[in-house]
Amino acid sequence: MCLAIPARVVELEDGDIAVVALEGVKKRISTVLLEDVAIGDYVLIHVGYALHKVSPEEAARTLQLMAEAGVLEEELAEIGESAA
Amino acid sequence: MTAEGRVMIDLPATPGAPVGMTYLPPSDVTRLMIGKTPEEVLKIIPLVHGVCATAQTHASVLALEGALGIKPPKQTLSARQTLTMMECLREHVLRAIIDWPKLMGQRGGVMAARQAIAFPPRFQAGFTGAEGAFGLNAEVAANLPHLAGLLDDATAFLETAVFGEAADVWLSRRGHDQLRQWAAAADTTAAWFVGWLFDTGRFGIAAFPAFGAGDTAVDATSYVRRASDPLLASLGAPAIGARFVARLVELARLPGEIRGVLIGETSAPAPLASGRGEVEAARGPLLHWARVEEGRVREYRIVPPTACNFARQGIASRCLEEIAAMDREEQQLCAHLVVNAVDPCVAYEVRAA
Repeated sequence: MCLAIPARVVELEDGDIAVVALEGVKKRISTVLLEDVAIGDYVLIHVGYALHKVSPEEAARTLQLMAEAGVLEEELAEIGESAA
Repeated sequence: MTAEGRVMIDLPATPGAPVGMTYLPPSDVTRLMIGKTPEEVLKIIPLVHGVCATAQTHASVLALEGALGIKPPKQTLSARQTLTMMECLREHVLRAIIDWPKLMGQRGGVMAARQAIAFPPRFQAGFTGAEGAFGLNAEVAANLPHLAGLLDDATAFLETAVFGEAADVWLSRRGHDQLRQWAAAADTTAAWFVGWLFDTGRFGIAAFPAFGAGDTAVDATSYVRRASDPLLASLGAPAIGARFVARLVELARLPGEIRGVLIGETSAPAPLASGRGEVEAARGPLLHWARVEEGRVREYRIVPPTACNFARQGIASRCLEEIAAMDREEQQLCAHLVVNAVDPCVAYEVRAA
């Protein structure tokens, strides 16, 4: 319930929408809760919202932990399905 | 499984047939804790729990300190408790400002949401050593004048952005009629939403005794901890509308309750020898449990409220029974209301047969 995945912003769209990429898989999310989101930022995503920005180092560490726990693979499969 | 877990609600093709619900729990991250030192676990928990990270880390440190027999200073326990309560305040505001308008097909208040997001870090700045508050046996000191000022800001913000009147005036309302009067008069997203629930006849959906009176549904929602509040009690059985209002009741009470913990009027949870750490997160009680041997974590469990509320005997399933007889369009909308009333942070999908 409370896990959130960090992903890199690769595109900004109108209406507080951004496209983020996670291991090459892309997803559209809402950035309405954040100010000054820029391409290249890492944001934590939960239920379609970017919750807050994280540093590249923190994002890398979190992704490493999630990969270690097998979470990342499951999440990528899920994003791939919803983006298909 | 996915990182955040998912609820699937299946609406039947035939009106009156049971509404199906499947809960896919989030991925199990507790395997990351096994073999780590308690200090390492406390670094992992906030990284993997991006949502309610404070409540998660709070439950974790209580579990680990309990397992290690550590008794941290009283002011540290208080600081942790108030930081978790402030996170709770932020979460409830986001629901009322961003999520509730969406349920009505409207757009939420972006500026107010961003103001709410800023409260926890501003509050944290009122403690010396707050960045390490969730470390083992941490020492934290509160700057009470600074924190009191911030709580005044939070109270004023809630009055403007949520209640449209002083929180104590709002809390003094009793019964459906007085709540309806507020909903009609106040110019906030929370008031519009409550008014919409009344006007569309949806406020009273799934009104049944959730606990006691022979009903055995497991209810680990934030409603339970506020059920005896006079305003909520005056609304009768906990229908969908009352579950949303429970979050407003908590919002109205939180600044005063945080003050009470800061000045020592109310005690904060302390570590238990059992290694069980339980805190009240925004969506309900959150439990962490740890067993530590020779400086390493040997067992670790997390029980989020979502797992209880969306279990087969959980409150969500019980509420969904109440919408089975509705026509398809209404059923679909009410399925969204049920999920948001029970647990607003779970990812979910409503599917029609």
